[in-house]
Amino acid sequence: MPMDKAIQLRKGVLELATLAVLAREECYSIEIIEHLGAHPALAATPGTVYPLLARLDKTGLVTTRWVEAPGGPPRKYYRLTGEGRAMLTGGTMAWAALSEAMTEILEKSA
Amino acid sequence: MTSNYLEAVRAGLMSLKPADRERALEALAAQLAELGEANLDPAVALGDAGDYAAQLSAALTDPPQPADPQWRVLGLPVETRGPGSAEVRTRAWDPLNPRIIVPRIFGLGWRLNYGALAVRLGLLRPDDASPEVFEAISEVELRVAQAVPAVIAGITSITLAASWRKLPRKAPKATLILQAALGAIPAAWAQLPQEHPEDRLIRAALSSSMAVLSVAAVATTVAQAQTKNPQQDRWELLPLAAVPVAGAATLATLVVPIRRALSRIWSKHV
Repeated sequence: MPMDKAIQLRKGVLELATLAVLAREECYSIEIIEHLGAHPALAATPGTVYPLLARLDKTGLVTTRWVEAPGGPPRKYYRLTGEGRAMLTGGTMAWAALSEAMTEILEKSA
Repeated sequence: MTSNYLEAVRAGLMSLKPADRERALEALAAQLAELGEANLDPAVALGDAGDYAAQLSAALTDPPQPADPQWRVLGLPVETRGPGSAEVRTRAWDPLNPRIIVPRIFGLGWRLNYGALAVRLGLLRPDDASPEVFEAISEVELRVAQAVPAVIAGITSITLAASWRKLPRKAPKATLILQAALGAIPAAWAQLPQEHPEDRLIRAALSSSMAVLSVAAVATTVAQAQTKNPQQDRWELLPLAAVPVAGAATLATLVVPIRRALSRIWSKHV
C-alpha cells in the first residue's frame, strides 16, 4: 500500500487509539505520544496528536487538569469523560466490525 | 523561543471563538513546556507555527454547530440526543451565538438561548463567559447555584406531601406526583458530580426553570381541585405566568455567579 494511504488510514483510527490509551490511565501529552509510539503503525508526531487532543477536549470527550511536576513546570493531564468512554465503546464495536469485514474481503481478493 | 511560537500560533487562531482559542493556547503552552523539557524545538516537533495554527484551527472548527438541530421535519428542528449530550446542552447557554431562539435540547421545536438573551439584556458581553471566568467561580457559588433547583423542588415535594391527606378526593394524585417529579428529577440531575463549572451551572439553571414550572403545575392542579368556581378562577393561567419567572430563575442562576467571578478577575487587573 502506498505510504500516504497508510497515513490516512492511521489518522482515522488515531482518535480511537488515543481514547483507548486514556481509558487505561490519565496521561500528559508526551506520555500519550509514547503510548501510541509503542505500536509502530500508530506512532504519531506532536503536530498530529496535539490538535487531536484539542479537538477531544473541545468536544467534551476528555477533560484536563494541571498537576505539579517535580523539578519542572506543571503538566496538563488528560483523562476520559463519561462521553469519551461511551465514544470509545461505540468506536471499539465499529472498529471490530470493520476489521472483521476488511479481513474477510481482503482474504477473498488475495 | 517557546513564547514566540505560542504568539505566532495565537495570531493564526483569531478566527476561532475566544473560549476555544484560549483553551487551545493554554494546552499548547503546557505541551510546549513538555517539548522544552525533552529538548525538542517546537518548530521541528510541530512544524511552522502558521501551518500548525491552521491545523489546530481546522481541528477545532466544527462543521455542524451545536445550535444546528440533529434533523429537520417539515422545517421544524428535531433533537433526540437530549440534555445528556454536552454539545446539545450548550444550546441553552451560548453567549457567542447571537441567536436567541435555537432548536430545543430534546424534541421538536425551539427554545431560548439564555446566553444570547443575557447579552441582549446587557447583563454580559459575548466573550465574558470564558473558561477563565468559569474557573474563577468559587465552589460555594457553584453549590449555591446547584442548591436553587433542589430547594425549590424540595419545598414543592415537602409541601405536597404534608398536605396530601387534606387534598380533595377529586384531586388527580398521579398527575400531582408527575408534576412534582418534573422538578425533582432535574434537580437531582443537577447535583450529579461534574468536572466543568460551566456544565454545573447550565445543569443548575435548566433545573431551576423546571423546578419553577413544577411548582406552578402542582399549585394549579391543587387549586383547580379545590376551587368551587372553575369558570371564574382561571387557574390554568398560572403555568403561563410562571414561564417568565422560570426564565428569570434560569438567567439569575447563570449570570449572578459569572458576574461575581468577572468582578473578582477585573479587581485583580485594576
